[in-house]
Amino acid sequence: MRDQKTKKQTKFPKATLWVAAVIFTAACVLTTIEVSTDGVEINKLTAQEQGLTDSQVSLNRELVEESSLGGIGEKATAMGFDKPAKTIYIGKATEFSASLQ
Amino acid sequence: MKIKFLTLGFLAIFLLVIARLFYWQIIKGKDLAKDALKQYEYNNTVSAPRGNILASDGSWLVSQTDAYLVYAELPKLTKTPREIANLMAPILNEDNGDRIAGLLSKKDVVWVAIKQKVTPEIKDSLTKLNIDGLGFQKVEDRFYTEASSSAQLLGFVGKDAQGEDTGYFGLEGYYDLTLSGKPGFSQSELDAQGNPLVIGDSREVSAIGGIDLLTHVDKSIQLMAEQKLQEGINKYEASGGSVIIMNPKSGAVMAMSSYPSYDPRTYYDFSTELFKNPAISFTFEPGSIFKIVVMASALDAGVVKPDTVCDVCAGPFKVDKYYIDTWNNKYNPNSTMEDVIVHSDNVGMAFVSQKMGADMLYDYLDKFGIGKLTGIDLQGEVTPKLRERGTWNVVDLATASFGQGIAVTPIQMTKAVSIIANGGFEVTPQVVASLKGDTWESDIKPKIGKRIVSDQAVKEITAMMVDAAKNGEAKWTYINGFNIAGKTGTAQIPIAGHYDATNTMASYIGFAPADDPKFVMLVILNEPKSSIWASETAAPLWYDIARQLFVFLGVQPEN
Repeated sequence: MRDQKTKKQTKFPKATLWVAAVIFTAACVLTTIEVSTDGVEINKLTAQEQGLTDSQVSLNRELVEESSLGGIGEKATAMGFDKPAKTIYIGKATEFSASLQ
Repeated sequence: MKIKFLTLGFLAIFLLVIARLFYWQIIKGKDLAKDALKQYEYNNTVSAPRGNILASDGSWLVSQTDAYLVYAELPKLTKTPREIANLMAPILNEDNGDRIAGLLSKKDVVWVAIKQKVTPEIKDSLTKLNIDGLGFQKVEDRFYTEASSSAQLLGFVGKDAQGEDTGYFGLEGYYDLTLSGKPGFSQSELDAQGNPLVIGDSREVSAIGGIDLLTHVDKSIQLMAEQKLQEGINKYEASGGSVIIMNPKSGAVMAMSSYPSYDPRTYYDFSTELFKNPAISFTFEPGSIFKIVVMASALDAGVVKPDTVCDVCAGPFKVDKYYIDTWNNKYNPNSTMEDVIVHSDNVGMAFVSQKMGADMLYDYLDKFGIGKLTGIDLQGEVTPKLRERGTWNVVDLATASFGQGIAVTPIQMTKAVSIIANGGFEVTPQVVASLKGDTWESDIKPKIGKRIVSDQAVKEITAMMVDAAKNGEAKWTYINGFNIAGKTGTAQIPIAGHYDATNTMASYIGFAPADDPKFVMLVILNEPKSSIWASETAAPLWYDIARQLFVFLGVQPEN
């Protein structure tokens, strides 16, 4: 059995070896290209993520600025809102309706 | 011979190569590996955003945001310092570019920081100038939604000795560790173009963001109180003042404001004295508002009753070699204890203190938290010490009964009166309601302590305070229809062993509705000039704020 195996190995065709070598080389080249392409892609995605984070921070800041109660008060006053100086408390409804009778 | 010579030559060259390889691989190997690593390894600290501070409705009081450090690499500048300064100065709101030109003209320096923490908008404007050698580094910044409002309550973020952001004073200081978070770290290998290598080594430790603080502070009430306080200070020509508004049943601080204050965005431009929050660190002799605490103690101890008659109130009362007189030199013979509070009678209070004795009074003051920190969650609280038990003489006892010769902080006084408003149970002032993470929230429960005074004593002192508000010297400013318990306090200011002859501390403390309090409020005005009396300064300001509080808190008039 062992002799037969050895014989088979020695008879391995040269063409197969060449094909294997070409496939191996091509795979290496392709993998290298793929890896470097992925690197570029990751870099792009990272930059995109950073851009989105910056936008989020900017929008968040805008939202926080707009939520300022002091700022809203100033705007309201500028737009003509006049805060009631005196609070009027209305009595019971029955008394009010009774006064109409 | 030639072959031997060549062999030896080759051998020598071979040995030289081996020696050189040994040098590079073994001796210098580690250093070279480090240098190589620098070229392809990328290390980055992932910053942990500091937590936000939120008002009770979840809106921002302080928010974390990004800002930029503007710097210049001097060897890379292609324009003159003056040209660059003239371009940058208008964008950085500087009158002229002298400061910038000075920085850019420095000798033997390659890198200078031009401006700290500029906004993204300013950074964009500077970028558009296309100045070679100008750079920006992202840094974290605090954004104060209501500008300089609540500065002493919030505190500020500065740098520690290591140059790291650290919170100082107020909430920023007290909760610094909670707010800070933990920075992360990322490491990856880059190719010649600076792109990450997918098959290279990479490590990442995620940053843990700071935790948000949800406070009890009601933004509407806080802003209103601040505005009213400033108006009051101007109107009564005071040098400063404080307002504390608290829920006496939970200790929740709804508003806390003092003036003068500072702007936390530019804290470095202000005196460090302004960083301290007077509401928790200012010590003063409370004057007549302290009578509430002493009378509540006496009623609880059973040494007096509301109808107990003061038999020494007909004139000045001699204690040791001193005479104690009333604030207006009017005397009320046979006053009851209720009359003593309504008339704010110093002689009547001296009578009460004699009934109690020094040790009993000391024990009650200790239980009310006088001379001890209240435990409020703000950095910078101080407490004046009570005179040692057993060392009080008769004069100390008598003067302490009407709030003289004894010192408190505004928050201590607020806590003491909150005990009465809370049915006699101890309550701890608390600013933060809960801690909020990304996916969780943890409430901070109110700290209600043991009973300090009996329910009966609470009812009696509350009735006295209601009577004092309605019929005392500040009755002119009372809001009819509402059930308010209050007391004025006009205290002299001790200066170098004697009392200031002209200036006073005017204060008013009270709660409403008296039978089911929604708030307890203390108003203090320092050295008012329009009148030295609290009934004409602090009291009207208290009622002015209370009017607004009734609306905010939905308190309806009784009739």
